Amino acid sequence: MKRETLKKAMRDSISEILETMFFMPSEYSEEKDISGVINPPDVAVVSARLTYTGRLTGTFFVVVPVPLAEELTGNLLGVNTGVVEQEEIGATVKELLNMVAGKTFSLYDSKSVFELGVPELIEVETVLSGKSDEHRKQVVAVFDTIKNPLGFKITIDDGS
Amino acid sequence: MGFNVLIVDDSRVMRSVLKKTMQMCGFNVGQILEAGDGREALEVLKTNWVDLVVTDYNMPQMNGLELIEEMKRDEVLSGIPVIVVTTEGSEQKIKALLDKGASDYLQKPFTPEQMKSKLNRLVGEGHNEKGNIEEGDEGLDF
Repeated sequence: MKRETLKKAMRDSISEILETMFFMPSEYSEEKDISGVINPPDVAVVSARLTYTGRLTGTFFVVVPVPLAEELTGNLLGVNTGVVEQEEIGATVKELLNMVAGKTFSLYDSKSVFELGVPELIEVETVLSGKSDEHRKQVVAVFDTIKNPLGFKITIDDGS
Repeated sequence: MGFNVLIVDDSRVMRSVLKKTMQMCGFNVGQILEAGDGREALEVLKTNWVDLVVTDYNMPQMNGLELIEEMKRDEVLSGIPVIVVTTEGSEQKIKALLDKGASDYLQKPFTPEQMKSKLNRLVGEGHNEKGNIEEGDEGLDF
């Protein structure tokens, strides 16, 4: 697994998708830990994961503070943030993860087939757990926006 | 008169996005119908004429590829162009989609301009935004 190639693919994907589909400018952050997205510490977040298989196997995660998730939903749907529903916010975060995962792997290696699982919403503790597992390979990308930061994490299973 | 389009996606949010993008990109859209998966799409197609199907790839019950296969088996439905909207970028999967009969694909993320280009290519580049046949094209003469 070429870690730097995967990281670049992930960064390029996130930036393009936020800009093109969600009309949200963003900037890559030097933050290395996905828990850094939870700022301030009491901000509510929406988290999701999907599993993937293929040349690499593992899990893709996203963590988005609720105020940003509301904004992304409003931008995606072309409606005022104040009228977005909880269900729409969850669906938006799952779709964001789905797009980022698909684009990341297609940039990483367009000749290999990656199968993406169905995205599901999860508790943020699930994303944060295992971050200190030294045997698990992982790549983290945190992006700043005008609203809140958001973060993505790929874990790669041993043997990939 | 605009083109009738069937949007197939298990995500209500994505159906809204596709609908909104189609309407704002300047494509001459008429009626937009929706379905949550391939099976539901086939039910809609039994009783509604559409000029174009825009479908997601990964869906429960029946995915986009399976929907295309079913449409190709039907004498009437086989003539309807299908665009697959997908996060998939692997050359192998794209080729599989096209080999099975997808008319084109649109990879996410996409811009309104990219969507418009795909739509116009499939349902007639000779039709401008107002639905008029452009000069130089042969019109029907009854």
